[in-house]
Amino acid sequence: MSEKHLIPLAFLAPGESAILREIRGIRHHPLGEAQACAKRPMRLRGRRHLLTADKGHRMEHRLKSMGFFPGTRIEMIRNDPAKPLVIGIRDCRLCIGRGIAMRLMVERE
Amino acid sequence: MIVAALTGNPNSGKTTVFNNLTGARQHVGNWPGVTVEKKEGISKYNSREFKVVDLPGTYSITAYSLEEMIVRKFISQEKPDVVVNIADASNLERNLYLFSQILELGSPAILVINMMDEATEKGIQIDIGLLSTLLGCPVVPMVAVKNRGTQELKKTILESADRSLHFREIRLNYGTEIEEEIEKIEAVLKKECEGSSILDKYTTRWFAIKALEGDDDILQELTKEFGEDSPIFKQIESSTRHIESIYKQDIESVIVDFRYGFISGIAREAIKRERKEYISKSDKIDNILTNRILGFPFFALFMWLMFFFTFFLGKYPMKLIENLVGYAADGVSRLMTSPAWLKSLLVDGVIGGVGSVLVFVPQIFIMFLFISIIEDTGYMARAAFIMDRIMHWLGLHGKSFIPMIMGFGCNVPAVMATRTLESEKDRKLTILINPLVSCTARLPVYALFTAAFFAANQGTVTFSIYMLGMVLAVVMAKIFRKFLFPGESEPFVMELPPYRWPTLKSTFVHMWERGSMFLKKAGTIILAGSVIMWTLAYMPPGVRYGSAESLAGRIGHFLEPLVKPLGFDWKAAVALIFGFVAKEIVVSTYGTLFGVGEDRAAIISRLQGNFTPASAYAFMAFTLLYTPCLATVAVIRKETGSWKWAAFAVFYQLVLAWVIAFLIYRIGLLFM
Repeated sequence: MSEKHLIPLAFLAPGESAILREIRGIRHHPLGEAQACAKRPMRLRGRRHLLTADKGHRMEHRLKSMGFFPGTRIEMIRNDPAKPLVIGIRDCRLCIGRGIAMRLMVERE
Repeated sequence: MIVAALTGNPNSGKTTVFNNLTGARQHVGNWPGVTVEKKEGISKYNSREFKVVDLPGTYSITAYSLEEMIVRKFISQEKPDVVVNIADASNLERNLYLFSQILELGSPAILVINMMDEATEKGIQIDIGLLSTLLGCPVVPMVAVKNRGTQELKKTILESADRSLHFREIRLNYGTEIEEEIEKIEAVLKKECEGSSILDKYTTRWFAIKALEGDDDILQELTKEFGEDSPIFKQIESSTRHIESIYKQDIESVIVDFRYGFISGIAREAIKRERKEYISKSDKIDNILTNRILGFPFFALFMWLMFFFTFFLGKYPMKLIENLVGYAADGVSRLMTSPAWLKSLLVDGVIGGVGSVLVFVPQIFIMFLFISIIEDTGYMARAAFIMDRIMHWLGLHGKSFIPMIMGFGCNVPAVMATRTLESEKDRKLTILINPLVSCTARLPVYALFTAAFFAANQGTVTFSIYMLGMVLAVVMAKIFRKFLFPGESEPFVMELPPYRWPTLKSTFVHMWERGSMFLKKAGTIILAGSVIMWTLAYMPPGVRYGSAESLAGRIGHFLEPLVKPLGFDWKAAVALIFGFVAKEIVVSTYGTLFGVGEDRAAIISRLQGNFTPASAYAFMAFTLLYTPCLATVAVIRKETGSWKWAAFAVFYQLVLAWVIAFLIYRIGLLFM
């Protein structure tokens, strides 16, 4: 699958649906990482591949446990300007901020 | 006794199942050390009793959040005889993700598939028998709101606990490469762990998987047990590197991918969906209630209805309770003759103090009833959606609005509710402004003062106080965002549960749980406060009760200069000090200080001599704003993790209250 087919979830119009392909750039979200790191034991700090409980990770994990998993079909229900998006994953309705929706890369069906 | 633990996603109907199992026999407390609600109850089947523990609703059991840690620790350390996982039939795939993690923990588990009727309506067919075989555990279909399947579940719980049901341990397979590494880690673990108690809690396999996933909690536990230079860490590190080099992805994602693969495999086989064009009722309702134009007016209407009914309907039972308290006081004073001090203690202190607050129980219950309905119907999440835009202007997002609504009931659960916010900054900000949302405990003060000074438009004046709180919350949020927590609000995800008719039972149970906290408070803190207040007003012996010469009077006079500019006298100073314990005590203190007990009419007429309308309004504003009550301060301390923020909340609110009350009083004087 080539890159160019991927668009951010936020670009879908209501009624359109797409397959989630990639959660991009959440992991290395700059917010709050330093704080999470500071709580770790000295020696474990900096071992990013092992201890990764920074905010971006938490968010990504949360998204996945709520059903945002690559390969999942996502339907755009509401996309009103200046409001969060309402999307459907199967029969579940989720309200999602635009910031995140720009990082979820989907492929139109 | 057999212990069954309930787990499940939020909105899967876990609470309803819990209520069905235990009926009224439940006990609400807190998990030790944390302020997450812990509910326990006793259930009975065929005259055998077993204990049911309701664990917090979560989407997974990582070490990323407090709730998830509680679920995990409870299952692994308390070792319940059986774990009952409640899943929503319409969202089985997602719900199974949590269940797969629970299965990995290795305790006997039962999968309950709730809301089967909704799923059938949507054209989803679930092969219960097949699902049970694939998962290796009993699967029980249910419709909890209609109380269908409860007996079957009780039976299954007992059979599982007796081990008379066949459990097949399902081993989630992570593929050859990872399985090899898991085995290596397990081998090192087993060698190292000899004689250590650490493996009593979890199985070695689970330990190995979690260590590979980089689970903070597990790694810390290993560090504590074996020190930082144990061979275990070397093994984990080399395994991680090996796997990451094969999959070209970080290890956590690889493992999560396998787990999802396992689930979607099962889902594909056991769940059949008819592809029918189906617009759910819930979506239709949403088209109206969260409509771009109509959404906000509807929301405002619901809020208005909540306040209207609280005050309007609350009035009638209030009169009744007032009379009852009056009879009690009369009865006691007639029956008791001596000693005089004991009679005074009972009539003025106990009945007067507690009685003057009990009068407000109906209003408080009605308020909680409305908040329960808003929550149980699923409208709460919509309110957050609607308010998102306004909250954005404050640098927060819609989700922060949920604690604000809950604050109308009580700030303590509201502060706890901020846990659903992902960002630490957003959370602290929401916590700090929450006490400005006027809770039900402050209602008695407004009700008393508006009755005394603004009898003609009591409702409007009370409403204006609520609005004052909201406006100041907005202003303070703006200021805090600018100076204390600079930066943008963070992204968010929130489930919009389908609209449901709340069941009468669960709504009332909900209301009762929260409202009864207030009753308990009346019986404990307020009772104690009243007795202390009575003592201060009665001592030293010989002084006229509640006079300026009494201890209470002396304290009040000492502090009077502080509140004088606001138009308050020494009695107000005493009342406000005691109001810090619980704001309702302001009312009972006045009853005591005037020496009239719970007699509202008498308190009102005495108040009219002490305040002018301007200073009365300033006093209400001061009560609204000055320092969160003791319980709220404690919960702020717990939730922010430091006394610094709790102290800050007290300090800024005291200053704010003084300034606002001063302005109101002084401006009021110009016009009166």
